[in-house]
Amino acid sequence: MITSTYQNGNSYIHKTDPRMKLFLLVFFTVSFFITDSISVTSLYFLFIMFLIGSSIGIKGMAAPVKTIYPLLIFVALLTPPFHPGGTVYLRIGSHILVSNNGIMETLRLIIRFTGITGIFFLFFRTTSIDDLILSLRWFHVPFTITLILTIAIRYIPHMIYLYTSVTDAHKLRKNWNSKEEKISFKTRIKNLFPVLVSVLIQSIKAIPTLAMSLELKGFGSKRPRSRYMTIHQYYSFPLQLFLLSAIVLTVILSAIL
Amino acid sequence: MTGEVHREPIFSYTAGGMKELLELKQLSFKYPDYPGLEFPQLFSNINLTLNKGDFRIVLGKPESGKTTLSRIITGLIPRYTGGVLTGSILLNGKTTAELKPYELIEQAGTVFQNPDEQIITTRCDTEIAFPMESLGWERTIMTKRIDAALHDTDISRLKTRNPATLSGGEKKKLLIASLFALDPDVWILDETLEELDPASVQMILTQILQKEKTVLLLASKNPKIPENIQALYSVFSEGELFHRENLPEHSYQELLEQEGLVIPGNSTSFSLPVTLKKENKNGELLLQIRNVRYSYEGNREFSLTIDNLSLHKGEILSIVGENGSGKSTLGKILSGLIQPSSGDISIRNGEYMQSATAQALNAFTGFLFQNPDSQIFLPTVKEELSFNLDLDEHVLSDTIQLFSLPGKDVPPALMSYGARKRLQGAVYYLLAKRLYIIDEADSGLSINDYSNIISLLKKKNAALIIITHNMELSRFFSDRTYIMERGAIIKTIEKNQFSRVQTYFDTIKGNQ
Repeated sequence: MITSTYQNGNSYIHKTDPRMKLFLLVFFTVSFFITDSISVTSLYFLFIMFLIGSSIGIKGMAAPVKTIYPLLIFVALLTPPFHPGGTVYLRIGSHILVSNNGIMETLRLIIRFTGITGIFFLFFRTTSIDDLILSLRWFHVPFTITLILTIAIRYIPHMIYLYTSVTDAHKLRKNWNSKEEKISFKTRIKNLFPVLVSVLIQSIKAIPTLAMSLELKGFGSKRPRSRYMTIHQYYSFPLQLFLLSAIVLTVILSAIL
Repeated sequence: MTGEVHREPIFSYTAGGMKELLELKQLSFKYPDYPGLEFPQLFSNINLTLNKGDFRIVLGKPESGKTTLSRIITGLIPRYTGGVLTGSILLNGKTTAELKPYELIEQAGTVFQNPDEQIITTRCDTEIAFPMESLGWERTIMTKRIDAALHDTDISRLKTRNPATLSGGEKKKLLIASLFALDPDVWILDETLEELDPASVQMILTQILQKEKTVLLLASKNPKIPENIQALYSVFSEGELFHRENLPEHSYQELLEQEGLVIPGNSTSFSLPVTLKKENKNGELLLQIRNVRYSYEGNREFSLTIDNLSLHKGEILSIVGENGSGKSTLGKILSGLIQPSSGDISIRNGEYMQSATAQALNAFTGFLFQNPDSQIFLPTVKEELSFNLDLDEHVLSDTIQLFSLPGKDVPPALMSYGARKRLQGAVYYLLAKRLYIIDEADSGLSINDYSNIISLLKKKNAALIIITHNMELSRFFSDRTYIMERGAIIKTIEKNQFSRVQTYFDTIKGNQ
């Protein structure tokens, strides 16, 4: 069972103060949207890939692409026809399907989406949920919102587990020596519905139980809430300075370009 | 583990003049009806008084109202479910009628039957801290209480672990630790001793009762309580609560057997179905495992190692072991849901034994998961039973009757947990399989229902594997028992080798 997106480690990103990482997460996400320059977004992208490769490992660099590849395929197929302009590479009648502008726009979107996925992947791989919550509380995010986040992160792996259990149950719903029939794509999609309905029902059933559990933990009490965990001093300050310098550098670069 | 074990009884219910902490007066409850599903009165006119330091065990078969009672006392029902509640509940002499659950937590705390429903956070210490934070306690006090509670429940080593990675027993200890830290007067424990080993039961009960806490333990099987701890007993039967001290002893014992709350030992009223009485060692070989190995990605602490295992037609094999010993992993391998890293699984196909693919094992094996909700996904009982099958109406109605299901048009989602477990059994009863694996089904079924499902599946000329924590069940139902520990079979016990008083832990000890 998957229990967390966080993977224990000892890399310099793991050791970076989670408040700094949270700041960088927001900064890069916004940065990807405030510039249209492919050169700048590519630089951001390469920098994020460098961070992933040097902290999680080379294999980790493929993870963002793996996560969103169906979306990237859609982007690659649907974007070019909507951005005609420049040299035309493919047309049907009067309709321009692939042109220079279309390709540039597609590249920009692919780099942007993959980069943003990469920075989120890096953040959640190297930051424990407790550190994230403490950082959010440090930034004065209300307790109720951090609690929702905790519960969401706690339940997403649980739902993946439920989905696996239900699909496993489906595999076993056949008689011994029954004829093995090739299942069509249409039937596969049709069979997916009862699975999703079952997962949905179980998730909905978890709502009142969760609410009960929260009330049994005093949630709803009018007393001012105290804190058990406090954010502790994080380690490698020079590396954090390095990251800050990188931010400044990218900002200067985007201004020049 | 801390604290000396008391040699003398630390509680006596005959002690008089003690402070009444919890009083239930004329308590009755009925769940609301839904279209197509009417709920009867769950219980009526319950009277129960618990004094300071009392330890009362309320026994009742699944669906008898134990969990509902615990949630009524803690203010969760009817707040979350609706229904009609009459009578009164007094905690420390004050009525709880107008109080919200979060206003009661310093007086009465509870541990749910399923710990996964109660655990919220992603670290053990923050889980214990949560209610204290809600009450605004100072950090230094919380830190002290958390360390002491973890120590008292012998789980200090788990302080920073993610609860999702703990075994079922460890999760229950974590929730008990949470109560130790919060220190309410009344502890309501719903099937909490299940999955805990005897040493932990002794340690935890001793600690709680030393603090003179009032404990209400709800259980569907008579739990083994250490000899030096005395308890009061009550039994739910047909919507009424009977107290042992008010009944002649023989009537109390009869009540236990009638309700299927004890595994019949010298019972005269309970007998095994005929199909379960025969020993089955000479049926044809159905399944053979050789040198099977499996390990989970990223988990270096566990690996499954089964050198040799065979099963014959009509045979019932029990697999007993603690959480994480590899029982369910073996079940998944035998049903083709996960594939072993190496080794061979052969199954009978006609006259020959042949190596099985995952797809062949999917068809060969019926695996009744521990949680029935993972295997029930359609809107009505009829659709559920007919899924992928062309069922005759007679077969359908016979099956509904055999498994005591509430009706063909009833939505399974609205049925009780026990009824959903019976439906799960009925689903596999209608499928032709050569092997059935029943994973921890005893936790939500009465002995009678459990026995009924096993005997009906056995009639299908298949082999059965029962996965359980309960050595007594294993002794009672199976031809052979394997004890598993850390992914390996460490001991085999044939039916005729069983000692009646032998517990799982005695067996392990004997093996070492």
